[in-house]
Amino acid sequence: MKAKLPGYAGQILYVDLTTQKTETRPLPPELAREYLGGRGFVARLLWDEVPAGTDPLGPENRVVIAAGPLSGLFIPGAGKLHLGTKSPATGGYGDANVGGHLAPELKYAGYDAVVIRGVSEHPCVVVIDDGAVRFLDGSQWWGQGAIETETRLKAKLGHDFQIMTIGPAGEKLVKFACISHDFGRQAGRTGVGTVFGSKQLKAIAIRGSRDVPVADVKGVQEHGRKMYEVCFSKPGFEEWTPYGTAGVTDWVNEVGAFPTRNFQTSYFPEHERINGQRIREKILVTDKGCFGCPIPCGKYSRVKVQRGEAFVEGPEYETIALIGGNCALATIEEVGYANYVADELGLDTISAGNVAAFAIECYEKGLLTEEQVGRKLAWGCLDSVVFLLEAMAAREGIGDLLAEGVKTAASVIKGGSEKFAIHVKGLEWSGYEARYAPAMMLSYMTADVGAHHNRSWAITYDVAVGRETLEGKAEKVIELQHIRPLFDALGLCRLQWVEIGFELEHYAAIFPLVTGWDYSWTDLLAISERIWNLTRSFSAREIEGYGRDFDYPPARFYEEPIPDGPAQGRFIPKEQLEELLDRYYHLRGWDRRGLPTRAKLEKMGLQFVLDALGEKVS
Amino acid sequence: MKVTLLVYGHTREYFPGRAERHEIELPGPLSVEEILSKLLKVDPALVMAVMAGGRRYPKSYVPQDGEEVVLLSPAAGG
Repeated sequence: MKAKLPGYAGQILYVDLTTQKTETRPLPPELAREYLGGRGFVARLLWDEVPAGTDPLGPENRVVIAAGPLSGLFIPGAGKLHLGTKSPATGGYGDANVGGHLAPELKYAGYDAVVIRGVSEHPCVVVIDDGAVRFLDGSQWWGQGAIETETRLKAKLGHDFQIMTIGPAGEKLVKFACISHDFGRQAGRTGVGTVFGSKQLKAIAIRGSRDVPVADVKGVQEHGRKMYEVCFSKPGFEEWTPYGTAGVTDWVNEVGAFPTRNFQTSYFPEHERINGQRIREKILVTDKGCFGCPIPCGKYSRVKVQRGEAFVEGPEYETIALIGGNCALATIEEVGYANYVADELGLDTISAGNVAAFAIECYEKGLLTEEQVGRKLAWGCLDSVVFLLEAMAAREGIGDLLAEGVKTAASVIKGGSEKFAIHVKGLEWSGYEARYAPAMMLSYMTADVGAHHNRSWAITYDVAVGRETLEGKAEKVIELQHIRPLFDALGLCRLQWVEIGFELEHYAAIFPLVTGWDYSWTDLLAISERIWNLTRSFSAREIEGYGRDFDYPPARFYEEPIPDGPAQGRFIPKEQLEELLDRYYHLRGWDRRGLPTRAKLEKMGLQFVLDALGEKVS
Repeated sequence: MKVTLLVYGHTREYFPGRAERHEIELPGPLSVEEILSKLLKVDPALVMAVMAGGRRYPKSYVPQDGEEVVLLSPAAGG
C-alpha cells in the first residue's frame, strides 16, 4: 500500500444516492499539489464531475465536501470544511464553509473529500464511520428542524459523531437553504442546503479515529505550539473574544456601512441595542469555539421574547446586520429569536434577512398588498420577520415566490423593485453597505459566488486610503481575493489573522512542515489565483452571457444617494463602477467582458477549460 | 507625558511602520482620537474601540501618563 501524502487522509469518497453505493478512490497527488484542498478540491472536482448545463436541482449536480491539508491538525483555526455545488441561487459556481468539527472528523474517518451524486428515492442519512459508509432511511427526520435533527441523530448514533443537517427550507428547495452543524453553525451561502434537499439528503454523520500523517511531526508540534503562544500573546487577544464578530456592529454604523431597512440607508440609530455588548449583557450563556480555536467567537445564548424562548448560537455580526438592522429589529432578544427561527428552518440568515427586508420594502411601497402577503408587514416587527421566514421555508403563499430569492422575486413583482433587490449574480448581499466604499463595492461585485464579503473584506482599506478615490482599489481587492480564499483551500479559519493580527508568515512556515512540499506563501497565493480563475470559468461555462453584466450591484447603489447618517449623500456613479471593473479585469488578465483570456488560462495551468469555454475565450 | 498604544488586527497595516506597539510622548492630555489623527496621522475610523485597564472605552478616552491602551481593529466576520 502506498504511503499517504503528508497532510492528507489520502482518499476521496464518492457517494451515489441513486444506487446507495459508494466508491473510494485514492487522492490523486497532482490534485493535492495543484489545488491544495478545501475550496480548491471543490472547484476542480465540480468542474470535472458536473456536466455542463446541469440542472442545479437535478441528479447530475454534485455536492463536493472537502477538508484542507491543515484541517484537523494542531494549528489555530484548523476546523474549516468547504462545501460546493452548482448553485441553485446563481446557476454558477457556489460554495460555503463551516467551522465546528466536521473537517477534522472527515479526515480522521479517512477522507479528504466526499462527492455526493444522484438523488435518493426516499429521504436518507449518510453515515461515514471510520471508513465504513452506510445509508439510513431519513424519513423519520424529514420535516424536522435542522438543529432538532442533529440532536436526535446524536442520540441515535452517538455523541462522538459530527453531523451536518438541513432543515425544512432545504427540503422545500428554498434557494438559500443552508447546512447546519454543531447546534448553530452553518455553511450558509449559495444554496448548498437546497441541493442536499433536492437529493433527499437530510444529513451526513461522520466519525473517525484514524491518523493523519505529517511530514515533520516534531516540527509541526513545535511550530503549532508557537502559533498558539503567539495568538495568546497578541495585544487585545482577551478583548476581542468576549464580543466575537458582533463587536464590529458599532464601528460599521460609525463609518456608515450598516445595512438598514433593506439597504435604504447605512446607519441604524438603534445599533447599540443589538451589538456585541448587548449579547454579553443580556443573553449570553457561554462562549463557544470550533476545533482548535484559541479565540472562540461563538456566543451561545438564551433569548426570551413575547413569542417564546430559545437557545441560539449567535447572533453573529452578519445576522445582526441582515436580520437586525436590515429588518430594523431593535433589540438583541428579537434578533436572537429570529436567528433561532432561521437556524431551525435551515435558512441562510444573510439571504433570508435580505429577502424579508425586500418584502417589507415592497409592502411599504405598495408593490405587495396585505391580501397578497396574508398580513401587514412593518419594519422593526418581529412577528413580520418570523412570518416571512416561516412562509419562505414552507413555500406557503407569498413565501413560495420569496423562496426564490430577491432577484427572481423582483422580476415577478416588478414596479421598480429590481432596483432594490440587493444582490449580485443572484446571491443576496452580506453585511456591509458599500455606497461609500469603492474597494468594498468592487469586492462584492467580483466575488465569485455573488455578493459575499468573505472573498475580500476591503472596507478598512477604503477608510485608510480615502473613501472617494478609486486608485489602488482594484489592486487591493485582487490581493485579498487571493489571500482570504487561500484559507478555504488550506482548511483554516481566517479569523485569527483578521481579528487579532496573527501573522500570515506562521501559516507559510507550517505548510511545508505538514506536507513536506517546499511551497512559499507566494506559491500558495498562485494556487489561490488558479482556483479563482477556475471558479470564474465554471460560471462562464454554466451561464449564458456570463461576465461583466453579472458584476454590477443593484441600481440603488449607483443611483440613490444614502439619505442620512455618516455616509449621507454618498453613492458610486455607474461610470466609476465601469472604471473599477476595467481596472480589475485588466489586472486579472481578463478581457473587457470579464472573462479569462486564453493566455491567462494557459498561464494558470487551466488549459483543460479551454475546450469547454470554446469561443467564449478570447 | 507618555502613553503606549497597542494595535492589533489588520488595522496595524495602516499604522506607522506597521508596528504593533507605539510609545508616544504627548505634549499634554489628549484623547485617543486626537493622538491618532494629530500625532500618528492615522484616521481614527480605522479603530473600532479602545480598551484600557480591562474596560472598553470610546475613542474620546484620554489616557493617563504611562498608561497602555489597546486599539481594537474592526472585525471582518466569517
